[in-house]
Amino acid sequence: MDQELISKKDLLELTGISYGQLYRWKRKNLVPEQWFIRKSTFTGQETFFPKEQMLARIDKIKNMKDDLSLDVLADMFSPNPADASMTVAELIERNIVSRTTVQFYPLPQGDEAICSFDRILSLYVAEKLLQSGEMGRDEGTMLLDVMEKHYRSMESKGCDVVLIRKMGISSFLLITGTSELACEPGTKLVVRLPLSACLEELKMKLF
Amino acid sequence: MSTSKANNLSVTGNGSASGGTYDRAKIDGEYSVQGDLTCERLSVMGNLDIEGSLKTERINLCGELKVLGDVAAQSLKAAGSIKVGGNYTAETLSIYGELAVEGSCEAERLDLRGVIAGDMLNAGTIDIRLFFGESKLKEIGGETIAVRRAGMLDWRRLVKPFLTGGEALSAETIEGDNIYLEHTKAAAVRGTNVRIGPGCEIDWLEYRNEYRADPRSSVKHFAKI
Repeated sequence: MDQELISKKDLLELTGISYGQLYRWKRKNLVPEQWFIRKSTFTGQETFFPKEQMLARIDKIKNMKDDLSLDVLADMFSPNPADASMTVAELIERNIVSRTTVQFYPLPQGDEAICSFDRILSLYVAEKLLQSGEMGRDEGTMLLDVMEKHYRSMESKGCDVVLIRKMGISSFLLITGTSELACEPGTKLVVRLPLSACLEELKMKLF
Repeated sequence: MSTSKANNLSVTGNGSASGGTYDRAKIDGEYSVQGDLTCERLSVMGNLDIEGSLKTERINLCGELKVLGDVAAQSLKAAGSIKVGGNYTAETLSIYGELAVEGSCEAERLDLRGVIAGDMLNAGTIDIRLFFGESKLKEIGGETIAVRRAGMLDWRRLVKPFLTGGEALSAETIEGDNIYLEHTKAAAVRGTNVRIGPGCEIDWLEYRNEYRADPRSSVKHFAKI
């Protein structure tokens, strides 16, 4: 899973933003620190970025900065959970999670159960993977389990959720966003989903 | 001795405490805090040593402030020396003297007369007047960056007229929209409008729009991109 990198110079040229703007966005935490990858080149030290993620992010900032303040944007991109909690009924009503998904992973209080932002995110990810057909129903339980136990401690680093499967046995991993991953030949990497992207989508729906 | 009234910390003389949260903290003398200090306003006349992090709205400093961890403070007005072991996040920084930040220093505006040292400086408007020694930063980034030598008419030169050696800045990369540099040594300078004043040594320079250099400076390579 090699990510294509883009140098700062090329990025600025491609997107038409200036050095100042980029530093400003970094100060406002619109672009996470981990995306700044420093490398030595013959023209001195240069900074590189994960190309796709960075281009998508800049696109979003450029489109939204006229309507929203940078601070609001920062909130939206932040890996830290927004102060949002909702009941299961609300989630279904607002089309964030389908009833089917909720019924697969029921909470004892039923529709009135209040979901924390973390729980909403987990359900949202589960929903996505179920709909794309990459994850089975029982695997969803594992996903919710790993998210519940480990997401808190890793969220600030920005992480990806990974599903691997070998001979019908599956396993979920949470790994930090920029790290690489290799599997033995018999193992199939079913999906690697950046949670930062899910967070953005989810926050768009919530706000 | 410290007296805590209405949750203010007021110290005259020497002492130490374990940190905490206060409305106002006023230190006259020498004081050390073993832990994190959070307050609305901090004013120091003398020395303050914090062996933790500092969080406040406003700092007024005359003397020396040392913080082992991170500092988050909206505004700082200082005459003296500030040393930070972690990162420094601020809105405005106005300093006569020395600023040394081990990690990164981020602000909307930095005005400094004196010496600066650190890893990364990221600020909207950077105005540095080099005075009284060598400055060293790894990376500087921002919208407007100006580095000059403090003028000969600066009143501090009247006080110490002979101490004028080594007033220069060295950095690995300097990137910004509008850049003006004097007496700066840098491996790479990249920007939209770049002006190089006297006394610079630049290895690699890239500009987008405008570039001018003083003949008393050396720029090894430059290119319009």
